[in-house]
Amino acid sequence: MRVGRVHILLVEDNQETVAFISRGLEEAGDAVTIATAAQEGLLAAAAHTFDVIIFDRLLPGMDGLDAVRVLRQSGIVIPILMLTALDGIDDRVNGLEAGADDYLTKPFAFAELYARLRALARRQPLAEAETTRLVVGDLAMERTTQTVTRAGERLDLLPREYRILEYLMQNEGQLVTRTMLLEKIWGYRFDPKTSLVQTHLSRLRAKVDKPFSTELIRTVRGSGYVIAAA
Amino acid sequence: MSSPPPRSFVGSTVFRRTVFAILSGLFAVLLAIWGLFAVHYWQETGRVRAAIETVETELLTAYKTGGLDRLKGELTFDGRSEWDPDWLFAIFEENEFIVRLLIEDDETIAGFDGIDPRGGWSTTMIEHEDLDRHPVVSYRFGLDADDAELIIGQFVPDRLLVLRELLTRGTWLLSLSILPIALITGFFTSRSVFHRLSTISDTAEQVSQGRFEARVPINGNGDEFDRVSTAVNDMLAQIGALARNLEGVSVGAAHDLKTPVSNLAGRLQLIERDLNDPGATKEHIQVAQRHISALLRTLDALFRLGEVEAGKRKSAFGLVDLSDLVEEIGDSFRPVFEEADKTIDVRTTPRIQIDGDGDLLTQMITNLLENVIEHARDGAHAWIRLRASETHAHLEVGDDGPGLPALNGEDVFERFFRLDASRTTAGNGLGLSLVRSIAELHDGKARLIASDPGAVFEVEIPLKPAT
Repeated sequence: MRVGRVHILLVEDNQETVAFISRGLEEAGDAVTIATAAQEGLLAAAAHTFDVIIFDRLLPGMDGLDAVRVLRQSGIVIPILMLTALDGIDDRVNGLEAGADDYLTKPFAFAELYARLRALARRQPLAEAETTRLVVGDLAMERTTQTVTRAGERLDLLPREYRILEYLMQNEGQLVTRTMLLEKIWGYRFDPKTSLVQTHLSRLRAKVDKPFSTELIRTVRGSGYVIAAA
Repeated sequence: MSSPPPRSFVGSTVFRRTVFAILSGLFAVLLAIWGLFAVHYWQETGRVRAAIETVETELLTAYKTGGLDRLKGELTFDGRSEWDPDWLFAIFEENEFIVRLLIEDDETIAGFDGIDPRGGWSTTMIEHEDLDRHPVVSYRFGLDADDAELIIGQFVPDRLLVLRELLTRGTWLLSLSILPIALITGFFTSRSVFHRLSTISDTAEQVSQGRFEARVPINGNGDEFDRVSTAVNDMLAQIGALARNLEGVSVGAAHDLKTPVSNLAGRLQLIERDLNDPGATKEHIQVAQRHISALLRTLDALFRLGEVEAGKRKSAFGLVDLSDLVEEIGDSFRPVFEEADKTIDVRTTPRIQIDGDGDLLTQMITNLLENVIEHARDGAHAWIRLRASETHAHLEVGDDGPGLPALNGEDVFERFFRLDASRTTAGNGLGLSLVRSIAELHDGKARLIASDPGAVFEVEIPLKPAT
């Protein structure tokens, strides 16, 4: 389930960040509309349909949090990713409570932002909940019975391994970063020094890929993992 | 900061207070003496008045029975009705009464005409060459039937006057002599206090110039100056320790922040050199990104530490089941321990609940575990134990070696503390600082309870009170 060209609204006043993000997105083939002030961003969000909105937390004239609240109150349900230089413990919680769907702290790797945007853009809450069967190549996941098979052979996964695989499969063909896994699977909002994610992924791959001839889970060096049919 | 300019002793508080105290003491003594004298004087003259009243009664009786003539007869002295002033000295010596009977136009018809007080009770002066001026208590009243007036008086007892004279002189003498004594005492007192205080302020000045080892000398007699000096010395010892610690922290911080930046600078130069070799360039960039990540991790940890220590997060506390949390984290990290060729054993008592922040507690336990993974030998056995006492949750994270070299158990919690003095290994020396800060945010404690052969850390956090 790949997502095609997406249209992104970027509300950000820092020119360097704007250049960094818009260039990366355009190279990836996405369309970017730029607003440099909160009001401008709100108007654009109301006037056009976007797949994702990136909202900076600190904008001239208005707190990004308030802007997101306004958007949500006016009934706009487009996924919002909030960017911030603030890395306080409460900042993320406040951002999510205001109605943002994801929260990323500056500085970040472009790959991290892109992976999160893709995950947001393909998110279809209702449809996803209804999808009872996920398939990638010869790998299949029955979500009602929580069984996983590959080439008709049943795989014996631990609960956490199941959840990691489920998340990867939901984002088939897209990069899932280590931080996304830490947040989604473990609920950690800090970066452990040790190779927590790597260790669990290598165990998962030992069950999912190793006994078979083709690899479905691929490591993207320094960023994360992608699951895709070969 | 400079010391205040030396001032005159007159301006010193001790001097002024001393002089003031001595002078007020003198004033109080004089007031008491003069007060007593006044009472005594009043009592003595009261007796004189009583005697006069007796005489008055007698004379009035004579007047009522025989009129003015009879009265006049009573007042004859030595056969004469008009008294000679020369008699006064004898009257004074005998403590007799002085009388004067007057009719219209103040004409004296009997007694001594040198006395002329106003009506009723009064004290007047009588001038006499043998007596100088001497006060007389007198009573003057009218005899209505004859339009005449009678004055009866008696000298104030001489000893009262002598006493008063004595007191007056004493007062002058005391006042004149006590002032220089007060000034001299004030001078010496303030000089000795000034001296003791200046040893303290000298020390303070030395410390402010960076000599943290300076201390206030102690007299050893346990007086208030010794107490102040001891307190100041304790404070200086504390400040010295803090300053040394801060130096260590600054050096550590500077080092840990500078290393990745220098490495980054190096890689940038390599990139410039290897621009034509895309493979090498790509590798340089990846290494550079790792250095940046290290730098950001250190900054994040510092930031988080600051936030935790400011107690910001306390408002977001809620019920946390530590047992679940520990089991969950132990579960997550078991494979990591295995990969690192170590084992971990997790034992918890169920349903140990505290009031706290789940995210921070997770980070605290993770930091303790990662500390074990980093420092325990290959093949080491590690454990987590969670149990509860009446009041506290006790979390123990330990391993069986090699432990930490003999050192003060508190040092490991200092920011940027590194066992590896060369700082070549990874890590930023903030992990355990954060452990302690998070424990303290939860009103708890973090300690290193054993370090040989293995390191054992204990965290104690108050249980959620049963409601």
